[in-house]
Amino acid sequence: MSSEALSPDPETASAAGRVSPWRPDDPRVRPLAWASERSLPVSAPFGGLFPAGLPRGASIRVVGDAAPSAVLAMLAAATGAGAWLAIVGWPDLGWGAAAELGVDLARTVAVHPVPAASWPNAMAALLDGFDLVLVASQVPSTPSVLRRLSARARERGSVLLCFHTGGAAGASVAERSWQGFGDVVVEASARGWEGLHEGAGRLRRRRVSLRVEGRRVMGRRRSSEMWLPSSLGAVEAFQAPSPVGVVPGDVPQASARGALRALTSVEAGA
Amino acid sequence: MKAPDPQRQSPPEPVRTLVVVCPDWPVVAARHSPSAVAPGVAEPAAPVAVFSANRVVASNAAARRDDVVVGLRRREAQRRCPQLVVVAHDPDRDARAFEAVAAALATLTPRIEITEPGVCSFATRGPSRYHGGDADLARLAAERATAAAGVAVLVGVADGPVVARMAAAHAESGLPRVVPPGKAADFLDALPIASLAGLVPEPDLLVTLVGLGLSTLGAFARLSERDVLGRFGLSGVWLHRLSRGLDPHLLRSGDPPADVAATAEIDPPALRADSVAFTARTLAEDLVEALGGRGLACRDIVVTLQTEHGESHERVWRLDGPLSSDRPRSPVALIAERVRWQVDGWLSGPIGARPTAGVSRVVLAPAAVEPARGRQLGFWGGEAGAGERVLRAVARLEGLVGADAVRVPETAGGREPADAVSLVKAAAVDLGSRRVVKLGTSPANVPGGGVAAPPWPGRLPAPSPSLVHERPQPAEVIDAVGQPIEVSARGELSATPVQVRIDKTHHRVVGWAGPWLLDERWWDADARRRSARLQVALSDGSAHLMARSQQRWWLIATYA
Repeated sequence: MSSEALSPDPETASAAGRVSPWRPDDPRVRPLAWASERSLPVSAPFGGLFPAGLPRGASIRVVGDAAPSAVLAMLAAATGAGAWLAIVGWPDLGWGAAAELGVDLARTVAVHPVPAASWPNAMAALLDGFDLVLVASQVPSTPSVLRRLSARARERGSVLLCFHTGGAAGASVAERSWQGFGDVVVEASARGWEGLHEGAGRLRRRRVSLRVEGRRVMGRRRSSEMWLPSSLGAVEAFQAPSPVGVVPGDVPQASARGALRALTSVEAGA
Repeated sequence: MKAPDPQRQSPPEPVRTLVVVCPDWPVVAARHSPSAVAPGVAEPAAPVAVFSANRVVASNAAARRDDVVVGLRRREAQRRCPQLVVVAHDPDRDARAFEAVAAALATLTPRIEITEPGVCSFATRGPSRYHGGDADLARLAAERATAAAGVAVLVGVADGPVVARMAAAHAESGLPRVVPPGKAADFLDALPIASLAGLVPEPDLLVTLVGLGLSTLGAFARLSERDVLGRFGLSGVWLHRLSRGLDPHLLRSGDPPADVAATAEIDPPALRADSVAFTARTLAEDLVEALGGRGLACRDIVVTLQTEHGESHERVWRLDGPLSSDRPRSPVALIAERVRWQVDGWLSGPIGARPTAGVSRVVLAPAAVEPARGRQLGFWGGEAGAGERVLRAVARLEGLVGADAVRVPETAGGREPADAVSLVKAAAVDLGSRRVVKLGTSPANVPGGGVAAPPWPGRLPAPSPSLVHERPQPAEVIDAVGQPIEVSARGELSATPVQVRIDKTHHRVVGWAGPWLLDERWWDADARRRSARLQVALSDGSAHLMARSQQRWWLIATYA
């Protein structure tokens, strides 16, 4: 099979006497996976933070006081595009907020409670089947289990996310046990609510600043500000008079670069 | 090569089939096994029951005299029959022991299909002519199988395997039941519908039919097929065809493509069932993939084993047919299991029939196929939508953490944040074709005219809180002089909120709105719910939803 695939097609070679034009879907030159297959889409406001989307196989930790909304908003576009999401150990999730942020509830499965003894096995089973696995890090864990789960996510091409509200270091024992977790760490800090006055109005929108850093973000920090949630409950890019973080014109270039890098990493891996 | 399309062609004639049923086979197999599985199991008069997951899966006549029936819990069985011999279920043991029966019948005809350990069948066309008719063949089969099994077996001959199996069920031991060709409908006419229990994929349908007053198969058969299809769908038609004496399997199954078979040489030859099964597993993957590429799934499979000395052993196995109600299992695992059973049975079979060398070659070939419509996924239907990967992960997870802990959100609707969505068990829904009502949408802006959530006047507008506390936490909203704030019946606060106390910590209020009153189910004294809701933003940047009910404040949700 391999020798056949490598030798040029005799018909084409003899008839035309020249090399057939390169086609991107030619099995002989096609990369093992396209950059778009190696990542899950994110919604537009997150484009500056994840130019190539959420990389499959990544472990992502979202921390900070806006982490619950931020993590749901990050994976919403992927569920809309057909990815399946499992949410583990998050009994007080506000499903209304999840739906408003764009999470497709028809492709979401909630798992709770999980006995501590079968927790690693349950997580492994989820990583085998789901594209996105979101864990509320209210469950204490150990570095070795977390390392193995990250490795499993990498092997299966799932995205493993965890979040906690207590800052990067973690506020409780359970949160601190997750400290070393994550190729990518996203810090989501709330910058204040709008719409509430002394006895009037209602909560309308919140400004949140996000900062991404870690091994899988090409060595440089990215930051962005957005309305999370916006006045409709969804997420919207923050339009400030002087732009903070990524310049809008920079985005397509960055995304092309990201795609290229994903491609080269495939070739290097193959 | 074109894949056969069994759904379009008109159903062919049912294959005349002989079925041999060994009643209570797990008990018989336990008695036969050379190593005693439990003390006293071999005594002929002892009551014996075989248990799997603490439930009776088979019992013998002595045990049934004390009402030890299938499905009973172990403790209850032992209460009813204190001298009961308890045996753990072992499908491998059943299959191994059944090889003796299959080998005895193989002297009549080469192709024996093993439906499940304890039940096997073969087509009678050739052997019946050779042995002088169905009745003589059935008598011969009963004699040989009884001699091999050591217990009286039931034999039935009829048009099609399911009718033949029912004929066997109505046979008396030692006296085969032969339903003449074309008379299947007459045989079935007076049988109660309940006698199909265990033979059809959907037992619930039987209950429904009995509830509708259709107590016999004949009464059901007299309905028109069109009406049955309209009311009960394809599974109804399946049952309707069966009750008219047709072979319902022929609706779906067809002849396999001729060129699909998988062969593996084992070098050095294997003397253990496990190592052959290991090879068979990769082989099965190839076969399933080759069939899957044509949109087919394997229903029956022929497993051929050959040794170095040229001995050969061939059996046809039914793979997870519609008669079994197992949890969905992958076809690869089913095939590998059957290969293991066959090798085990051959190696430990009658001395004269045992192989003289290790197994050196395994050939897997499909014997009957059907369109691959996610059949292995059981009641989930398996239409595109949910990836098979997801369904398998969910099934696995339910085994690990329990079916109650794996749930999916369904829109329920309500005024409180916690009421908007309710979680239902994943096992109870069809994950493949789920539609969830979009929250907070009106019918006008749902694309495609889909379903939208009905309005809930009094519901707080978006954004919704991202944390809804499982149980509200007691809290206090305090005014400037440290007094708790009250809400009047008209929805007025007694003072301006200045501080909120949550969990013994005081936070300064930087903004607040409300209160919004809620008075639900006022017509029902027990279910009535009154509360006043207040949004507060605190000095630490957080925002919360508080509610006052039962004369105190609660923290019900957090905008995090």
